[in-house]
Amino acid sequence: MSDRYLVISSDGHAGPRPEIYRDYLDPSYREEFDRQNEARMKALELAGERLEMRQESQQWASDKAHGLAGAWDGGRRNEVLDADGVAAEILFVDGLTEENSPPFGGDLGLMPVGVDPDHQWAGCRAHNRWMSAFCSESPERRYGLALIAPFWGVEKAVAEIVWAKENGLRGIMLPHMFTGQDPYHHPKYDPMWRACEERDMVIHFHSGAAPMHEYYGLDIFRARDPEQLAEPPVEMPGALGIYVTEVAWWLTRPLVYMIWGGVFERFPTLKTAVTEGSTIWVPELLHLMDQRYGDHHFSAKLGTGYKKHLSMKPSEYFKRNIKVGSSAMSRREAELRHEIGLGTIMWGSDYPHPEGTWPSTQKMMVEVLGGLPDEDITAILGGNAAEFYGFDVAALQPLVDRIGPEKSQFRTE
Amino acid sequence: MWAQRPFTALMWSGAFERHPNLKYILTEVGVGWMIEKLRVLEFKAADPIFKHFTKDLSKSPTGYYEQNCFIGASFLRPHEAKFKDEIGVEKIMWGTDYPHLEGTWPSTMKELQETFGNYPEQEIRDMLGLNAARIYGFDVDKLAPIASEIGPTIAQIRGEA
Repeated sequence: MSDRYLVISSDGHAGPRPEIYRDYLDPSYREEFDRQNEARMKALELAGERLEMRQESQQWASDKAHGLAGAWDGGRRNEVLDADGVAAEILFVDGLTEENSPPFGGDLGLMPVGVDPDHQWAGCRAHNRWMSAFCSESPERRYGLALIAPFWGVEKAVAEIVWAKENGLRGIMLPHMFTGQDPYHHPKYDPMWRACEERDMVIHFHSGAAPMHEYYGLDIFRARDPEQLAEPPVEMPGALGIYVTEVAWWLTRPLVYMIWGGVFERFPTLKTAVTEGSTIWVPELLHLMDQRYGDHHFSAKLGTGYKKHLSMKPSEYFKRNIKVGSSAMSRREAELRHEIGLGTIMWGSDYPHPEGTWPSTQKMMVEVLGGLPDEDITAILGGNAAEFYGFDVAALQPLVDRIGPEKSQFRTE
Repeated sequence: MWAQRPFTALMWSGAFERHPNLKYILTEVGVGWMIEKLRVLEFKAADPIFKHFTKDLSKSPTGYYEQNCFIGASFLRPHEAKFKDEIGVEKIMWGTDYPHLEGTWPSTMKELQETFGNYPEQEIRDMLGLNAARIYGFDVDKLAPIASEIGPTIAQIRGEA
């Protein structure tokens, strides 16, 4: 019995600088990349300035250049993870937001709005190819995810999932915003669910994307056009508060669609993870869906046909098929772990993002989980993720014995 | 939930801070979720990362709920009524949803018995009518004659008459 914990971060981010993405792009898109890159970097800069927390982020990053380079430098990344006590991680796109977003809308939001489908796919593929190479350096530690843009033809999505599996990636990330597109209970997506289920590719949704004009007003569309910037945009009080309250709601909507749509009924071993939306919403969502499933009075108008294709309550699909990545987890969530579901929670660091735990990861872990029963800490920090993703725990053990956080730190005497 | 979004926006934007007497009534959207919703909002408001955009708000999310919000509890079901103390009995205004299919009509009395039968008399009076009278400013004296003619008795709601 090891005296250290196996820690698997359910939320890591990686991506190279734009000029490297250029190398991974299909050559026929490079000219367009060059044409758009300057404007794109400027737009990212502008978007960053709009963020009210910009200053805090910059100050946080000012003395961390060495560790932040782990966003694209594998050696540096392992150094950082070793110091954090993290043995392995699930890798999303978006290393450092302002510098490492793939081109053409192939980014963390994967919004199906204002993009050219072929170009968005080219951006996704550039990232997937880079990520495959990055993970191959430390395959037991890095479980990389492929970006999949499902709205531009399901057969293209399936082909990329097949490629991703063959090239060492462990799952996919799909956009949770389906603005203007068929949502996820449409049966046309069944081949995509099947491709993932057959290959044990875990589906991921990651927090971030939302309809920003519903927070910052219609001025944000005008602000994109410099000629219309003469008038400064109206300041909307509380915009960021409303956004952070609702952001997890947009993130979790696909779960509601997939559960009610019978996706997990038809694909009973399909796995899905939702990441960085906290876990605080889980009891409310499960209670609500089960209530709607079971309340005969409410459903008087609806008949019973709306649920006849489901053999279980919504919460039962949730417990069987879904896990939640808890990035920079809070003590409050740890206290609510049984209500949320002890087997549901997967701790995450969110490295190298400023809202994550790095570089105080071990200290924060102890603050959040200290005093909990050993088996609960084991499950949350790595056990749940190891089982869900099928990590090779034996292969990781020597690393854990060297760098894992010592169990004694978590005991309260 | 779409029904929850306006509360979130009014709370965070400071509308309730600037207009403390504004009454916001949530009707036929269920009631049980409000407690969970406030828990999520308190969780966000307490996060030190978001300190600087709670700086213009003198109350917590629960504080604004207590100050500005009331509940139009259409066909309140027993499983929802059991949360009455957490929601605040003084905020709950029962409703029939007549003439909609999912409402209480034509079994209103039976539904009243199921939902309210075991509660104290004053709470039943408050949730069935007195809260709404206070919040909307109904003239209770003018309604008294008709209420004494057609209103359900406490004994009826208790299933004793």
